[in-house]
Amino acid sequence: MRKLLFLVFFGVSVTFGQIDLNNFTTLQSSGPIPPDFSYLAREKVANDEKRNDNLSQKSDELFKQNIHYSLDQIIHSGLCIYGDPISVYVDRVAQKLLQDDKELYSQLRFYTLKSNVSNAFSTHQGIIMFTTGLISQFANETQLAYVLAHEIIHFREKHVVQTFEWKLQNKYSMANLSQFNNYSREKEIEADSKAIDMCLKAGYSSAEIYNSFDVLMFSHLPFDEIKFPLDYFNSPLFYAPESEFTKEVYPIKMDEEYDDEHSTHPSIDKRKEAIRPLLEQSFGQGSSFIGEVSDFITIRNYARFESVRTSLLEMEFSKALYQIFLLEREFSDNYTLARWKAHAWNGLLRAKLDGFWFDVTVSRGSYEGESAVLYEYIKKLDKYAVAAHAMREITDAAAKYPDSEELKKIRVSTLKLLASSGSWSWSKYSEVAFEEAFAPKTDTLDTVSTVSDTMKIKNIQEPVSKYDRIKGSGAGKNTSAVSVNDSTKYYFYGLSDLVRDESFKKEFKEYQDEYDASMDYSYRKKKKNREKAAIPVMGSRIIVVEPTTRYYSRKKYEYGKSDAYQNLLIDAIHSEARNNDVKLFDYSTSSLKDGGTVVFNQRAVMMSYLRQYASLNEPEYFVPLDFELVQDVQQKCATSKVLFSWTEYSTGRVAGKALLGMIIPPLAPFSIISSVGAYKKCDVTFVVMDMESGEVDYVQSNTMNSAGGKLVLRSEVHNLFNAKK
Amino acid sequence: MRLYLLITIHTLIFCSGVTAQGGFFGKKTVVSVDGTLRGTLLYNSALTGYSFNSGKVIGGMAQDHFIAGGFSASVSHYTSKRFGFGFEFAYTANYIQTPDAFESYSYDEYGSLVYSLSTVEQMRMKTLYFMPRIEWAGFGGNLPVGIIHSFGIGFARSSIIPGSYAQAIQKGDGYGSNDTFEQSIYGGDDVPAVNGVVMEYGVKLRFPLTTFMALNVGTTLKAHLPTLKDVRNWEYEDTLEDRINKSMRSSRFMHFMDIRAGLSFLLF
Repeated sequence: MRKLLFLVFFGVSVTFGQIDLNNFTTLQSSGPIPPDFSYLAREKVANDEKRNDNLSQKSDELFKQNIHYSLDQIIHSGLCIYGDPISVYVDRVAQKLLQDDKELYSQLRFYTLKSNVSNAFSTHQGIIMFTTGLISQFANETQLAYVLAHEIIHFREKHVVQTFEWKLQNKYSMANLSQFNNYSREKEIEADSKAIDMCLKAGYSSAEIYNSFDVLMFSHLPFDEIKFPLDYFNSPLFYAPESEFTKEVYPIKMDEEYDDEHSTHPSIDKRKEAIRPLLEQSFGQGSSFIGEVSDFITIRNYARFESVRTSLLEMEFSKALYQIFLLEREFSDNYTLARWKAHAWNGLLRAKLDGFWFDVTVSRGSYEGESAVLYEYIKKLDKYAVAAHAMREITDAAAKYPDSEELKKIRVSTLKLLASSGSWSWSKYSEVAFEEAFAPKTDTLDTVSTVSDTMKIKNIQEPVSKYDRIKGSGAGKNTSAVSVNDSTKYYFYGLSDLVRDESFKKEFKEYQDEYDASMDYSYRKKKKNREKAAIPVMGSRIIVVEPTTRYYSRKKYEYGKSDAYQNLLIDAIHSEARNNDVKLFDYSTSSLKDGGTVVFNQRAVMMSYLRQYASLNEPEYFVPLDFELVQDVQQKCATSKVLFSWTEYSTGRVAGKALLGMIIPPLAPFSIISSVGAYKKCDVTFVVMDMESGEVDYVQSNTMNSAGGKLVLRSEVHNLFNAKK
Repeated sequence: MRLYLLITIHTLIFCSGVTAQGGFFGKKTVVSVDGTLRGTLLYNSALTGYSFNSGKVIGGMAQDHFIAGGFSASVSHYTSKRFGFGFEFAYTANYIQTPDAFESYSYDEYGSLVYSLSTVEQMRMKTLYFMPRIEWAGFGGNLPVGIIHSFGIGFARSSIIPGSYAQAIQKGDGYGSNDTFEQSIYGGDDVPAVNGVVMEYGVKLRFPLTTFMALNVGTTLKAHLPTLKDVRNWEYEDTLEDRINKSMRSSRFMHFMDIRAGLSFLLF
């Protein structure tokens, strides 16, 4: 009944309380926090003790520990959400599939994982998870329903525990990998076949079930396949000649190996072959959509927006820009896309200046389809061209949305990045725009008209799918044309308004002077000063995010002990916070039972912030992607200080030292004490960051020959809270 | 030597300039009290001692009588989580190997040769140590807790613990013998004593029990200087005091290793 009420409430919220995509931040959890999220892994293992999976006691313990601890890492990663529109939609589809099996439905829970990997999976606990990447790729409800049915079958038929049992019985190793793969492929084919029955009974289209495999085949491509307009970057102040874009065609590869011997999943062709006979009888029957088309389009749009955000978080800026272009066709003048585009160009500029350009651009070997035009264009930009694009896009966006604090921050960040890059000068850039400097190019007219036509395509109810376009494009055929290069430095004409603007130059000079002043100190001294600047923490407020704790026993990771030691650290932080008058805002997993969904969402924001921060080598002038959400957390906690902690435990070997005592008995006391003293190692690191400045305030790291018990951890926290200026 | 001194001075100056990092709850000064136990790790079958009952020698003593017990009190200050210095005062007491019943010859007033055989009751000695030392922990150190190595050069004074030790003397002139018995020798302060320089290396583990108290378990090696000179070679002409002094040196040498356990108080 509770579940029904929950669904009714959120069903209403999906239909009537839609997310404003113009101010989209990220999908967040909603409703009461489910036990899957609020309980700790060890509590779940304990609660699960009564369940009998027909395993021996030892195997049962191992199995339950494995499934709960490994799933917990996903569930508490900050990327997994519940009660969001996508999870609710998937739940609705599951209701349709299981309308005749209410008991099975009642055992299932549906969550969403923010990831661009196209995947869905079910767990032994009854959790079915869809990634936003996969949702963004679906062309219709049937495709989603078929994947969902496939996962439900895995759960119903207990494939997870069967696989675990097989591994135990057959002493799974690399030697019998091939046997295991065979076994796993059989389970996949079984799930494929039984899922068809479930979908057909529910009334889904048999043709679209068959087409679901296209989603898998092309899921490595962006969520749509649209020709990139060659005047995309052109504006009254910026001009990028068509000749700068490659004319080469990068065909979409359809060369998945038929031989799937080395895979746990059958090849797509084999799967299609296996299900074709089952579908032939009912071909042409059923419907692509049972529910409202608009509901599907809505949640797919959420997933697509989320995919852009994920690309930005993963620093795949070229991919993000192509995805933004795809979404702009439907959502022109969208503030969210404008600020994400600003983030992308800011990220590209940072990568170019800091020397990790190849990490953020797409490698040429991966070019496929229409997106390759943009990827290739970006790939060959030099730093002046990237700066021109970044400043143009960000300046225009900031001018268009003058109230946006985020865009202002990105603009300043971009200027500071340039100011800190050495002897940056705007003198290379022309004070006249391209059109003023050169005769107008007639060859742009065709493109403009093409794009205008393209831009007219809006509010598509059931569009021609990406897969139709791929198939229609002659995918798989090799065609190529020679690229025509234009050596004109067009980008030097793209910032003419800024270069003429004295106030802009003055502002930039201020940033340069600020940077030069900061470099008067040696790096070491500067760092030391910065670390000392924000302490002591005592008497202040601080946000604590999930401490990361890893316990290795002879290099083997131990879930239970990692969990126990993480708890010790959290206890130590709380205990010393009380003793030192530090107000804590705890966003660790153990706080979720009391904090509920509000704390869960804030925790996810903080984890995303840290993930983004940690991925940068030099995070100076960094603006978080979830700028507004991060600011909300700051305001709620009335602090911008975040404590991030990392602890690692390991046990060593004592054989060498013990042997010394055995060979020379008088040295036995020395060998015993040395062995015991150095047997366990513990590495405790605390990082205090300031979200306001985006800089690390303080780092305390201690590697100890110690078991790192409660007192030692409390001591470390005590020292952190009492660090002196 | 000059180079050695320069390196030592440089090391001390450098270490004292290191900014203190952390410490256990920010505490860097520690007072420790340990009980110590030393066995005679170098087994020597000649270890002997005699006990008396009503003036009669009743026999030798078992080797376990030679285990030395004592205590040590030290104060240490840590300048970083890897380095510190301290001062130790230690006291140990143990039985020493007393000289075997030893023969001597003399002439009486009549010019007759007198043969005498003396047996001395086993004596107890005490040793006081005054030891400045440096303490350090290797990579992974977390002073003042965890594994701690120490090295010290100090002063050691060993002396017989005053007591009424008995001595039996059997005298003979070739025609007969008579026994005499002295109840108390070294009853006052004027007791045999040996002084010397001692070097010590130790390693211990300090486990925190509370925020201000920790448990110590450790072991030390001591080398007394001079080491083996005239320790075991009793000469015929040696007096009883000479023999006792040598015995004390010998005892210190044989008790070169101790194990210890105690408590540390983490002050500030």
